[in-house]
Amino acid sequence: MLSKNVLFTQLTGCSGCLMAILGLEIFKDLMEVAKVDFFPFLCDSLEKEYNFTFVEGCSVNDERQLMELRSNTEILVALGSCAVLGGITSLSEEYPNYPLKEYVDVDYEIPGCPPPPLILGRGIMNILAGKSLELDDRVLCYSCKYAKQIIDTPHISKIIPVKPPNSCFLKEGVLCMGPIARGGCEALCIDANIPCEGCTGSPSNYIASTINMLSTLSVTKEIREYNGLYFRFSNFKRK
Amino acid sequence: MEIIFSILGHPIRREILFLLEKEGRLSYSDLLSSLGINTGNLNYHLRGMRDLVVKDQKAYFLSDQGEMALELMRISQKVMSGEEIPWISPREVEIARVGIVLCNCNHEISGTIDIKAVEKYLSAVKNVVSIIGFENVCQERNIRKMKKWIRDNFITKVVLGACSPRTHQQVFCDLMNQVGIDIFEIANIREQCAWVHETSKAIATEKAKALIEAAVSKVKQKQNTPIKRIKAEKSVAVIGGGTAGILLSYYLSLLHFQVYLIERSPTLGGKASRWSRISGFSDCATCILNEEILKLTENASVTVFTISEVAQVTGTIGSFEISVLRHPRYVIENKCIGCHRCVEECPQNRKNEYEMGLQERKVIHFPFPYSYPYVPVISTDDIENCRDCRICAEVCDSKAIDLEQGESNLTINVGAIVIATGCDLYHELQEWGYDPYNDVVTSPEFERILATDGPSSGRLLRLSDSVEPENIAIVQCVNSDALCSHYCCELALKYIEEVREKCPAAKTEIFFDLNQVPNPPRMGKLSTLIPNRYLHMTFDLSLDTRNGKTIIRGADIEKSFDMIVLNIGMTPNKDLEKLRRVTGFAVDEYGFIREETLISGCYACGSVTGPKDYHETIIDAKDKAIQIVSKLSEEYLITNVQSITLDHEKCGLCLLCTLACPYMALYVKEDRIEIDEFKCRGCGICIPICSSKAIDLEINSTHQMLSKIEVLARSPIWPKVIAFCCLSCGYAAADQAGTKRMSYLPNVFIVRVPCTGFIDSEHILKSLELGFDGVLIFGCFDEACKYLGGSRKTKNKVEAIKNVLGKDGEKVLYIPVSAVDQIKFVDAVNDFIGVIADAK
Repeated sequence: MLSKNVLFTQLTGCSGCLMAILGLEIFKDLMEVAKVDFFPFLCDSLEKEYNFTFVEGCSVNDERQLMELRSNTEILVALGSCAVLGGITSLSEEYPNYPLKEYVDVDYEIPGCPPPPLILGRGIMNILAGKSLELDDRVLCYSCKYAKQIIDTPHISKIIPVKPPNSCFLKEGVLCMGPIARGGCEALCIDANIPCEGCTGSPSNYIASTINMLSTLSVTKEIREYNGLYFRFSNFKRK
Repeated sequence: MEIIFSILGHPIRREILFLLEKEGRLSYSDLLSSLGINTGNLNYHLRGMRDLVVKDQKAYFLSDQGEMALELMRISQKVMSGEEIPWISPREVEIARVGIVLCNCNHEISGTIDIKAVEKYLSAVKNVVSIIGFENVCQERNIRKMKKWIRDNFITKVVLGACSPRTHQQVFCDLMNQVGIDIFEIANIREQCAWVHETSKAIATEKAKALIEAAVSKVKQKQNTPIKRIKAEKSVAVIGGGTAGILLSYYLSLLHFQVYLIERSPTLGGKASRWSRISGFSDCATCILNEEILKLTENASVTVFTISEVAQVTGTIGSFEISVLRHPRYVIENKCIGCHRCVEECPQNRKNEYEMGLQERKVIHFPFPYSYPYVPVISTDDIENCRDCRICAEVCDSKAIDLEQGESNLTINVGAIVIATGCDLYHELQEWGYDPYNDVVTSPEFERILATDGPSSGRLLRLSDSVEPENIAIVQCVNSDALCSHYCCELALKYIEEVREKCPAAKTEIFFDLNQVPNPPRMGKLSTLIPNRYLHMTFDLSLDTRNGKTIIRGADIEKSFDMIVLNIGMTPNKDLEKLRRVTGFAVDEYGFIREETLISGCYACGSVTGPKDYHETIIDAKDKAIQIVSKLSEEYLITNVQSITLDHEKCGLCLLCTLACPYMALYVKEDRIEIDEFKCRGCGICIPICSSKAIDLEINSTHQMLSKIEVLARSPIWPKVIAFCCLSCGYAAADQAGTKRMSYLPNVFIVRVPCTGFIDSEHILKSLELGFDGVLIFGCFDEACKYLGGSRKTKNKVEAIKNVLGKDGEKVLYIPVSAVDQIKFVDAVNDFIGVIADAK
């Protein structure tokens, strides 16, 4: 008999984070340690109370569902950038969305869009074992293959690389959020020739870090004023 | 005896004893938090050891029996070395026992602020154990009383509610050292509260409470800063070999200091060597200076580097390392015998800079007849030509001329650096009608005309036709607006005297353009010594040349003269821009060095800090010599490390900090970022850029800042605005406003930062989030920023924040002020608070 009742659910989201769980190596181990009562498309039970609730997506315009989840669970985990930072829906002018922690108490936050396998897998298993998340407090550059290449202040004029780079994106003038993004994702995007978008947030305050970085680099006016570009995972407006 | 051993049988009881020994007095809650046990458990143990630990109303402490028990344990540890007694509590909970010292400042503070109310409020603040009031804290006689107070209350950290740390940091630092406190914080309730809010006493009291409470929250987190012991080098580098540099070097060499005198031009002497005479002396300037140079160079402890520049400075006071770049002279100094053969044979001419271009000189030349070293020089601009000609090299019997000479570098170690590069002379003379060959000359040119070794061999002749002038006009205050040259009145008197000697028939008249005269005009002796008909005060002065006569036209006068002298003033040395990169300092509104912003161990002497005449320079040189000697006379200097710390575990190697640092103190070395502590000036510009928060300032950490903001945000004053002020300009301006008793709205809370570049966007966002209605940032003007562009980076940051905040962007404002512009500070604060209050 498995003692841990686990609920995986989704508010306003894209199901990406939940799909990512299905592809994890630890998925089998997860099934062995926890009794998954609810998982969209997989299973559905009638339990009233849960030990762990993993929530993907954000709560747009109606917080009641979230409140209900909170009151029925021992530990609530925000899963993915929408739940942790606000996500893409936070850019909405009419119905801006805020991170889950603005509405209810959140015990753990697993960032990422979707959370990178290493962070997600280790995170879920650690939470179920009652340990800490072990998030990396260093920035992404640490694991980047192009690390330690910046010598002069880069001038940022592009957001998409023209051709596959052979040196640091920033050095080539492409906006890369590496210097402020939380590491731990093994720089998978960089390996695929995509500059970092900063989906894992920042080891410190995400918005403040972004502003600090933008004020140090030399950035063209168009990019500087394009807020949605570098705040696509987080609301820059205060509640 | 058995009782004691039974008590000591339990590890927690032993730990209680050690804790109380270490901390002196602990309250019940402190004991709980440092032991990490629950209340029932603690009660049980305390009851068990009631003979060893006693309590009064506030806290627990050791009884005499308790002390004995501790002694017993120490002995037993020695005897039975097998047992490990936990000596110091393993849980790292530090207990801050903060004492608050309030100063009445002879009713200056208590006149506005209700000290009783402040005391009552603060006694309830956590960690505050005792509050003591003094009429004047800064006086010697309080030391004994304060010592007793600190001992009796087991105080480990102190907050002083007193005056500005800008003026009193050192005084309080000495005081605290004497009473045995290392960690303290000053809450500035005089300049920034009592003196500026005299009209709104209730709010001023409220504000004082918040300011002191914020200081308590900061001091709680303060740790002992590491101390560096530096062997003081008994040597000084003097940059600039003009009057100030020569005199200062001479005084220092008399006091047995090794002096390196670094001069950019080929000779010592500076500008004053050109003057015909120095006012107050009857001898010519060259003779006076020449004597000084002789006395100086006779001294073995002086080394002179000419045609040399300072390329780089590292290190701190007591141990600077300076790399000197020596440009080629193309003549080997120790081979030349000064025979002038090369100069006689040289076929080409150039304008003579020494004669202000009034005469010509050869390409290879002696800078002036009394130059030191007495060796000719070829300027680098001409060397290509000379390499084709080579006549001088062929005629030199001593083979002293080396046209292939290159640059060389050398490194010197010194204990202090003096900047004595002097000033430039005002040169925007077109609008003044400057035209030397139509007899409108500047004062330096006039000096050359008067000088016995000048172009006319000491006879006063017009440059246009070599005829003695019959009347001469001297136009005063030819300078940029409102900058008094300090000497041109004295100079005019000297000219009148010399003209009277050389052309007794000539009349001299003096003109002031009242549009240009600094307000109020400082005319000194001039107005009393000159008859009124020769002294003209007028407006809109202009010069005009017609038929060989030069006409001065003013609002109410028009007169023609044979010769007109423009008495030009001093302007800041243009080399300062370069020097600022080497040793950081800020400049004032005219561009002269602000002495208080120089780093420790670096001094400025002579007209580099503002216009000075010869006599003022002598006084300044003596003053600086005394300062330097008193500073370096100790064998070792003890300084606090002001640099940053880097946590390599957290560092993500994004290298943005290496880009942000203005001094290149951060560099990459084998997969790690290293700090060059000698280069780091502690500005903190690199700290906000680090997203991993791996870098922090030792003396003023981000955490301390945030806790300060949190405390200030709790204040009930509305609306409230937080003002981050950089130490060298913003905070200074605020202090100035205090000293001048300029009243402004009390809704502003001033937070001191080393440089505005240290301000993290998080500080600004957090302030707004926690309830501040606005954020003001007072920094330096770009060109005045001590930390080379720190203010520019802040401006970028504020722009970025405004962009992100959208409508709320109006709540954040960056204002550059100069250190003496208290009016701008006060107006800015009042306007901003007005706008914020209206918006609500």
